[in-house]
This record gives sequence, C-alpha cells and structure tokens, in this order.
Amino acid sequence: MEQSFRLAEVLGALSLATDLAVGSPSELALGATVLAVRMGKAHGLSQEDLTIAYYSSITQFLGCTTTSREAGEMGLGSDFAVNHGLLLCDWTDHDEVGRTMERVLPKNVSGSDRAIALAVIRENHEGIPSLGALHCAQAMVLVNRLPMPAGVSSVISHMYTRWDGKYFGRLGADCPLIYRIISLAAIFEVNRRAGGLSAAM
Amino acid sequence: MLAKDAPVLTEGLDQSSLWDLFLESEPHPVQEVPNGSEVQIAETWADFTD
Repeated sequence: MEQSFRLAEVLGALSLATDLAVGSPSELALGATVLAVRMGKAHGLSQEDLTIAYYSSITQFLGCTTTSREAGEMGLGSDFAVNHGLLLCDWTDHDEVGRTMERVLPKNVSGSDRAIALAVIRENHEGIPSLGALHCAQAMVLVNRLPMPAGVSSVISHMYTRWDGKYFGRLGADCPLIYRIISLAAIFEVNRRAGGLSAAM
Repeated sequence: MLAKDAPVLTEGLDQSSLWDLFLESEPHPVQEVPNGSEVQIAETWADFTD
C-alpha cells in the first residue's frame, strides 16, 4: 500500500536538529512557525500564503550552520554563543554588538583573551551581514532541493533583510509581507525565549 | 497589534505539546511526501558551496 509522509513532520524534525546545531533554544523554529501562522491569520493572509509562511518559517534556519567555523573563531571556540548573540542584537550598532557579545561570550577563558575577542568583534561588526548572507544562500540551496510548496524559496531569499536596508541595501518595505511576518515572528520568539514576553515586546 | 495580542499569539508555546501545536498549525491541505521519495540534498561538500 502506498504510504505518504507528512512533510511538516520531516521538516519539523529537521528544524530540531538545526536548533541544536546552531545553539538556539530547543524548538525555537517550531515556536516561531506557530507564531508566524497565528500572525498571518490575524493579518488576513490567504490559505495559500499561510502555507508558504509555514514552510518558509520552519526552513529559514536551515543554512545557519554555514558560518559555524567563523562564529567559533569569533567566539573563543563557542559558535553557539556568537550565533545566539547575533540573533539578539542589531548588527549595525557597534555598541549593541559589543554589549550583547560581552554578555554571551564564554566566561571560562582568560580575561585578556576575552577582551581581544570582544574588540575584534566590535571592530569588525560591519562584516556580520556578509555572514548572514551565507546563511540565506545556503538555506535557499537546501530549500530548492526539498519538496517544498512554490514560493518558499522566494521568501527565504529575503532572509535578514532589514526595514531600513542597513544589512543588504534592500528595504524591508520591498520584501513580501510573508517574509516580514515570519521574520517578526522569529525575532519575537528568540527574544521571548531569552527574556520572556516583556523582552520580546 | 502585538502589544494587545501577544499573550494570545504566544499561548501554548511553552508547553510540552509544542510539537503537536506545530503540526496543528499547518494550513490545509496538509503537504505530503510520497513514500519512496528521495531527496538528495548534496553529493559532496562542494554542492553546499556552489
């Protein structure tokens, strides 16, 4: 008898591995996806667009291990710390990058090593979007090879685009509404996991 | 919208049944992958860096 597998189960399981591999809180992608669909419904998205939002959200972090080596070098061996810190801060804000990394970088290293790592990250923060672009490119490569509903790859191509264009030059207003919703849901969920509902607001 | 609706939008996200909530959130019709499908993500590392 012909048996089918539910795509959501396959990708949901894959997202658990992605969360683990990049050091994100467990089930982050699941939570962000539930939230994205709820936001999309509240915004009146069509059923077709909700489907695209659902699959774009659950696969958006697929490429985030691409820069684990670089993140590990930046973070005194802890790519998890750097990955998590970069989800929490504004990459274009020198001071915020510094404050966030000060909080998340490993503390079981010598003070001088830590100071050097923080200084290097602060001074090179303008290069961080280029790492994000690699996440986006890798996610698109993988999404294109998965049996995904049409439209998901296009949404993923806008990953990390900011409202003011500061990361890649593209303005958030030029992004599809679906991307803006899944991006808001993901950032909201990252911050909610880190500091509760008040921090996310 | 978020400030007012956040408690409702985030309801259940901290419960152990998040997996079920995730599956229930999928818009219909549910997408399926036929048994026997093969998805070859990459043959070599170079495929990831094309």
